[in-house]
Amino acid sequence: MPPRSDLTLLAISAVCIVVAALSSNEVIDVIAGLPLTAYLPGVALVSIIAPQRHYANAVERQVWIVGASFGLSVLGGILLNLVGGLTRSSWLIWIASVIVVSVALKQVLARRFSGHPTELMSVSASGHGVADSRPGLTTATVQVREDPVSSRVTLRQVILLLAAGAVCVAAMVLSIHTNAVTTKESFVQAWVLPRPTDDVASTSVQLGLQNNSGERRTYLVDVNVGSIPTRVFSVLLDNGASWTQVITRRPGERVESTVYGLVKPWGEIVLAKVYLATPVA
Amino acid sequence: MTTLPLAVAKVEDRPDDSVTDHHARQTYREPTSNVGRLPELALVMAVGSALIAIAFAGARYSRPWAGHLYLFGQIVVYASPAAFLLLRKRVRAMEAVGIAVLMPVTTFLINQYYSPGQFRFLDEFEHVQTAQTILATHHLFQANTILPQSPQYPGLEIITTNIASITHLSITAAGLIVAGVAHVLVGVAFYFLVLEISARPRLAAVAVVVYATGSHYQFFDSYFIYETVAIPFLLLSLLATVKMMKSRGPVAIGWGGVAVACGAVTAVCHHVTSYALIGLLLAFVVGQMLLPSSARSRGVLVVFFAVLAIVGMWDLGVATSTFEYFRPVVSSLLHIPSLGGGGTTVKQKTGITGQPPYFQTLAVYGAFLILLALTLFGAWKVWFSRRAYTNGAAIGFGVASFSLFVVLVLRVVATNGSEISNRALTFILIPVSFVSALVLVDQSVFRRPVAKHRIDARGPVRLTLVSTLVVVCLAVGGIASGWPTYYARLPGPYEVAAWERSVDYHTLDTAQWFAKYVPRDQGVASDYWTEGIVSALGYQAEPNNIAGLFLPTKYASAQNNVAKVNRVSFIVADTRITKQLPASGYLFEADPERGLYTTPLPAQSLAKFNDIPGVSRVYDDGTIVVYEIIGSQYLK
Repeated sequence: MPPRSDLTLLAISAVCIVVAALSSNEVIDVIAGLPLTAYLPGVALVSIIAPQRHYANAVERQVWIVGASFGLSVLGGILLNLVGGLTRSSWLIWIASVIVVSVALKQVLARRFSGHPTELMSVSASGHGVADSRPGLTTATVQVREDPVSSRVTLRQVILLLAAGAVCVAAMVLSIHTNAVTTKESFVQAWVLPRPTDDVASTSVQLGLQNNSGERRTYLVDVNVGSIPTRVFSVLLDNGASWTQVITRRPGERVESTVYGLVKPWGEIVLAKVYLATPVA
Repeated sequence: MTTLPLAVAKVEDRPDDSVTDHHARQTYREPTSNVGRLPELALVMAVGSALIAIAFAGARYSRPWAGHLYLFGQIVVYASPAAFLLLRKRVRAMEAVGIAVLMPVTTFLINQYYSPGQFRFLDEFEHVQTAQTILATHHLFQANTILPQSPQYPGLEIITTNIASITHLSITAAGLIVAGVAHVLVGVAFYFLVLEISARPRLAAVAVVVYATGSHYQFFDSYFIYETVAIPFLLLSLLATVKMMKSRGPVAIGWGGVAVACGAVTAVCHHVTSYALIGLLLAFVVGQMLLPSSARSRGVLVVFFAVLAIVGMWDLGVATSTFEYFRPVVSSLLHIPSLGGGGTTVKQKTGITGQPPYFQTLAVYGAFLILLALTLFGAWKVWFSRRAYTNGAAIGFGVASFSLFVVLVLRVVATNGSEISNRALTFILIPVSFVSALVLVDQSVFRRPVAKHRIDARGPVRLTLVSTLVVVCLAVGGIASGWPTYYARLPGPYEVAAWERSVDYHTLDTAQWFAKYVPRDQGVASDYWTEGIVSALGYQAEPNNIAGLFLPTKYASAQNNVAKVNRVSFIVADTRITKQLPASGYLFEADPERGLYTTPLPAQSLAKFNDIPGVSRVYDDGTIVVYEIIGSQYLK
């Protein structure tokens, strides 16, 4: 029977995998998916080599857990590339396999070492950089261990940490706001392309327009094809929306399109002008 | 099970014995929990980062005070942990490790204040293309139109697409998570590496702060680029190697395996980082050789050769274009035109543009000199205390720190010396930070590792103040020589040829248009920055040596030849290059006018494309115009 910590890991992993597999909600996907990709596989792997959770090792243990998760991700990517591809389902299968195999391996090792699995990392926080065999230097081999009795955090410290977090959040909000306001652009993309693009003399031509003005706008598109009289399209577009129109021409005939804005402040100002020239014979 | 000696003297929790004065003992109030004064420090660093955010906001509105506030905020961010570590009588382990977390978290926040939730560096877009390709094809090693090495070192993109595919986050969001986590891992892993070597939390935390003063630490090394995710694995590999050297039996074998595994991940993630790992492991081997034979660990040699073999196999078997990638760099270093360095073999000219302010150059070289002095003293200190070490890590770092002098030579002599040395510093600062921290904390070159609980005690106050000032000077120098460079250090309106400042919605949307409507891998010629973005996000090829297409005001047969030789199909004309001077001093990668621009490019340089028979004007957004030249006479 696996110990409670392993059962908990398996249960959490199973819930996350099921939720990630079935959910179509973005927030839930993130909540379930992030631990699956960046944490739980590392927990499973590190628990094999460092089953004991020393308080002094807590931070270093987290480093190894996240590092192991990333490393397993890289390994998984290379293996999945060989056996079908890096799809969502294959990633979930890989993560589930890693966790289950790690827990099973830990049990095997625990039995082999008679209930004392490899304690590879249980010594990790000790610093033995200086010769411990030399007189006067033995105390330099320090195990950095905090006193559990004083491990509580005071209310004042919590308030200070919250204040630090609040300052950072406020700074981020300020950055997001000023960045959004000052980088705002208002323009329209116009294009004309032969279809296919590399056939410059094609009889089929695509006209296109995309509104990036930040608001709903109406555009007038004048189109001249060779000697055919001008055709005018009135195009109403939401912000971010695009419009395309396929027209025909004689092979290599010149096509010219001019885009006018109808709404102030542009008025009748030409916003864009595109054309397909007659290819040189 | 192998039992290792575990001494349990709690150095950090013990009052410094220099506090012998009874009054001092009474007035020194202990923090009541393990986190000590960390919350206060966190608040001060948060305020420092907020000042930088305010400076960025001011810069976006072109406020003149923004630059000064930015510098003040940076000084707060670096001076506060340095002063905390160097001036306090005692530093608790949790406080030290807390600083190792706070430093990267704060610097990553600064990165995000600059460009919240957006990529702004050209190289990031190259890796976005690789990640997009993995998501679209579900396979690795697909071609990248602009950086062929990116899919051959897919570690970053594998982790990112793993997160993106499971969480449905965008590549940008997933990439920022990966880059942020990796950045924090670097700080904390480096802390534990130095702690493992020295057993001194104060020293380890100071080393982290010194490392954070590196010119590329704050921005470049936390961008969405492949080395960002490789550096933590380099450090984890070194950390596991040190643990192996200190262990015996199965435990040592286990840590050796972890070291090799981390080295393998490094090899899959980034070429230069894997070479740096080999170099540092070699330094450990050399360090081992300087120890008495009884204290040597053969495991280091095994790890070294195992990592060397993995890196060699990956580079020769998978990442086969790595040699081609480095050829121009080697050429520029050696000034050998036959190696194919092209325009980069010519020493860069300087002129009215692209020349940093003199005080910045002063700060850069001042900081470099300080770092050189610290390295000399620190390396001597390691050598002086060599008999006290049981493994070769500290001595290895002492040896490796001398590579800083090679960097100095490269900086002064080589073409692109500044860029090469800044990039190299990311790795060289690992040993250099360690030896520098030894000097800064001990404030004595000849002080041996002392016995008992004084090992990590604070030095005299006046000297610690000097040490704190030294860290601030290093930080200012790092910022001055670092990234973003001086003309883009603060965010703001679009600027021509200004890296992060040359990315806006016009360029990004043009790139998206290419991706959606134009077949892949067409040759797209433009100024270096627009070309880079359009090629990366638009899946197009990036021809070189196309300055000759743009610089003349008339289109003649010479331009035809340039277009033909470089297989140019589309010309992207960003009209802003005819209205502003290039901030970096050049518009094209191989620009004959580099550093010589005194006026913007003449408008006719771009308008000439309207008058070429057979050239179509296929795209226009009012600022950027795209010409298709397939129909022109050059192909005939």
